[in-house]
Amino acid sequence: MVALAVMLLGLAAGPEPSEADVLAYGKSLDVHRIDPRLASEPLQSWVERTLGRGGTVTWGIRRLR
Amino acid sequence: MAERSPGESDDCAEGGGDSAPLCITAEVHLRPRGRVVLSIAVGSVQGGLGGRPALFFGTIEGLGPTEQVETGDLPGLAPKLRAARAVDARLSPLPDVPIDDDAWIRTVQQMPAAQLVPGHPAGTSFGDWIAARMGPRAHVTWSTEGCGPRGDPHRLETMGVAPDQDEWAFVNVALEDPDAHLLVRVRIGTCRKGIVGKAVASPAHLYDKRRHRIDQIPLDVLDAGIAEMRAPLPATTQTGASSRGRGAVTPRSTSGSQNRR
Repeated sequence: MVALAVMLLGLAAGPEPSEADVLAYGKSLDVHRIDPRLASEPLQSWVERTLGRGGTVTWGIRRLR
Repeated sequence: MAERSPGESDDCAEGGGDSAPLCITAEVHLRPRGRVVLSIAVGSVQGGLGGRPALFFGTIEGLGPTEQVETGDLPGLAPKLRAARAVDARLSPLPDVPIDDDAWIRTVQQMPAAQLVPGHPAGTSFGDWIAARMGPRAHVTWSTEGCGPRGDPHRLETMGVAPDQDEWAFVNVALEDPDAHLLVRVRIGTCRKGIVGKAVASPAHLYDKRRHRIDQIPLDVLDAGIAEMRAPLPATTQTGASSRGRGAVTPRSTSGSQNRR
């Protein structure tokens, strides 16, 4: 939580977050915020638990350039 | 979430403008085949990270026909994936067949209306039934949708459909007269496997040209909906909002292959 707060403070200071920052932020998002019917859980672990068994997960970002 | 056509890809961050969303995408490669793509909006180009995250785009691909993962589907994603695997298990042993728009249209035209319209008595073909709904002035157009532009020898590839992917195939019938435009979509199978499974008709999309609004109307009450649409306009008419207890919907493009009959 502290690390996330530090990262967000760092993001606020710069004009554009790096890809690594976006990925770290996105993977740590609580899925309960995306759909209130889902229990609180980071997006990354929810994806891996729900879909990733026996498979591989590739993460990326989409951003206008 | 915006409605997307088969084969359409994740367009997060496209379209320009600072309000374009910023998305994180998880692509899950399943075993033995298939993949799930989830694109989650985590901010915007202008505002950076933050705001309420939302599912921007999602698909299940390579397990039978592509299935969209819509907003609200996430809690039921595991069962949806199991259903896709079941469809894949049923369809994958079948041989691929050429896309035959004319045969698909004929099949739907000749199908008993009772097969597509709940409660309809047997004895009438769907083609005859639907053609009679808006009266003799209506112009009837049959087309296919979902498998790319007709006449294109690489129509699925043109749509961006990978060799291991398939898409649902639809026959559309549109009726038009000076007052209204009616569209019904019938899912008849898939682009690679042809006619498979039970045909399923969508609710009719009825565009009332005088009131400038669209209603979705189940086929078994379509006559009532058309009759209501034909009713004289009140002295002051509000446009845009539905007052019939049915959902007003956004017009969707039907970029299918047309075949006027």
